[in-house]
Amino acid sequence: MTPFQAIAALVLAGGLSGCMTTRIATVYDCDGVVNDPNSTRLVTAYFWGLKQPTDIKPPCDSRSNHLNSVTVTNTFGHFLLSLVTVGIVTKQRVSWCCAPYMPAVDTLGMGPAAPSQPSSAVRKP
Amino acid sequence: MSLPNGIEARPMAEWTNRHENFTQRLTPSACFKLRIPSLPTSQEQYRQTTSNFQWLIRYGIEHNVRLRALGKGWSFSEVAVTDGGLVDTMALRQSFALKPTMVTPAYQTAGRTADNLFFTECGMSIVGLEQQLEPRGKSIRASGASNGQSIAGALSTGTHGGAFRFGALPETVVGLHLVTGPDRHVWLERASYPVASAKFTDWLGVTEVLHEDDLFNAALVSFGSFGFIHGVLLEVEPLFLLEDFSAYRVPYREGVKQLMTHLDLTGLQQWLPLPLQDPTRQAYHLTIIINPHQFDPTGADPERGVYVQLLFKTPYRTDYPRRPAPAPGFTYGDSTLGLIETVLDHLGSLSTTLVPALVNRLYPLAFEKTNGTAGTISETFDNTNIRGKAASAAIGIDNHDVPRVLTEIHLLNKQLPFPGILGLRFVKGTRATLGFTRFPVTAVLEFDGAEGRDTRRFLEQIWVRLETLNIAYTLHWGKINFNLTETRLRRMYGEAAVNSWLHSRHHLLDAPTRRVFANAFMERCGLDKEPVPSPSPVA
Repeated sequence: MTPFQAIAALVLAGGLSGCMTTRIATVYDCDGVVNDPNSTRLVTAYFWGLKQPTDIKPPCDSRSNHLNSVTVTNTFGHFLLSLVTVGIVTKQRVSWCCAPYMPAVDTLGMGPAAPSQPSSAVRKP
Repeated sequence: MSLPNGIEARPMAEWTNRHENFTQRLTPSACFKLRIPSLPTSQEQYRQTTSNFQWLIRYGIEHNVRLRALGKGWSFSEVAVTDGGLVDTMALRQSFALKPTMVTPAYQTAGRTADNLFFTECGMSIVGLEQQLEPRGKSIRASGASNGQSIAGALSTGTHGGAFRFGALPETVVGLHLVTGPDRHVWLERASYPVASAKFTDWLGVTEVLHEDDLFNAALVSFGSFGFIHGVLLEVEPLFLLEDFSAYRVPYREGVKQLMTHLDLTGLQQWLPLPLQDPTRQAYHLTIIINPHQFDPTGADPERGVYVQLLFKTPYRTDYPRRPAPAPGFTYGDSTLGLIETVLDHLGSLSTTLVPALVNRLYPLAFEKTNGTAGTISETFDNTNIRGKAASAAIGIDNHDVPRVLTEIHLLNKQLPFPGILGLRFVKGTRATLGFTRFPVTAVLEFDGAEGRDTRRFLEQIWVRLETLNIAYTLHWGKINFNLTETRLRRMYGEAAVNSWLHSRHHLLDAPTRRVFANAFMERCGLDKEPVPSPSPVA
């Protein structure tokens, strides 16, 4: 591989992958699957920040309604876009992770028997 | 479309796994998220969720679409995905302690107590489970090396950890609530180990209670293909600590070999101050990490030794030397491993020179200084430090075969440098029919590194070499295993085990439901097939 190819590969790699990621995390646990496109948004600011995207309101379960983490990613492409437009267009990818709603541990067998149900068909070998 | 209470549409055209080594195309309209329904009592919430799973199965049958419950997405293989719809169950986190009336008398007369049983929904993460248990003075009995997986996902792919006298995570499970059809959901446990009372199964409202060892052992490791796992009954135990004894470089001599092949700890006394004579401390977890580019198989060069970590289990106390918090500063980024892969893939033969230097540089990042500290299971196996794109494969071998296999890897690494490191963990054999930790003591040999052409080529060579040498091995269901085929699977587990697993699946799911829960991975491995009929008994 020539030096030119090596540099080209590095630039390609930088362009294809995120080159700056900032994550704020409280607990590494989410109430949804990882890489869910429904929990990611590409946001854009214009004119050196004079026009900003509106705040994101993630649809977390209203019973807990908290976030556990937020990740902001800037790719090499985003950097290039800002550079070429002299800061007129700036993009970032924002992902969030809702805190799972975890009801308190219930205890079974404390009170009276559960309401009568069709009795279970028990089969043993 | 009007959806039942607790089901939300969650359209996804494609989905990428956590370690970003594959992207799965999906049917967007068939993806859903389940939440705990808004209802007054926990029983109503739980039962409504069971109905929601049945609604999904009916939807799958009527629309001829495949479905799969997705865990935390940690699997490196396509075992847990489908080209149909993914069902996000991660918000299903109801959990329950059990009083004695919920447990069969047979369980309690054997000296066990309801106090050590815990019932949880499938979406509960391991870390969530630990958060529920530890304040109650309880602990899970086994964990993987990290605690981010969901309980159902970790169970279904045989997450193993390194509990060499206990076993992998499936060994902690004593009962399963499976939703197996649009009108059927069953409680399943071993006939040889009955746990739940009729009062418990009535609380669930199941349509059937099944006590069968073969069915249970087949369902334990079934990667989401036995219907939806709604609830999991776990055996837990009083909270304990794991005390850490580790040495960064131990020469690869007789002491280490005896440790690997016979779990004999005595040869390590020179390197680790092990509490071998202390009856309050039991050896619990063993890890060996090897940098293949700094490995001297003769043991002559102590600088080219292996990392050994032994964790001893001891009763919980409050005054213990805690593990240090991660040091502030820089770490490698989410994109680092992906970047390395791209560069290596473009370097051609030059990568042979670059890989060892690169691995030697990154190798120290794999370690935290924890020797002499202690922690609960959640403090010991906390969130993973792998960031972004990564590759990981793991083979299960009999622990007696480890030295032979390491010799072969050392030779191969000379020709084709592996862009990563090796990890060995030792696990007591599982009873799960297709559990990959199937040897009496399974050495799980892990290959962790950058995803890319070099890694895949290296893995292929290892697999071929093991087969040529006739060394029995299995492959981790949730790690890189693109060579897995029906022929290999039957050679790994034997005809009887595979046929038994197929019979169990056939018994639990009718044909339309089996189609909903099949996927391309199963087709590749022949696990979607009809079972081979049992030979007629001789009169």
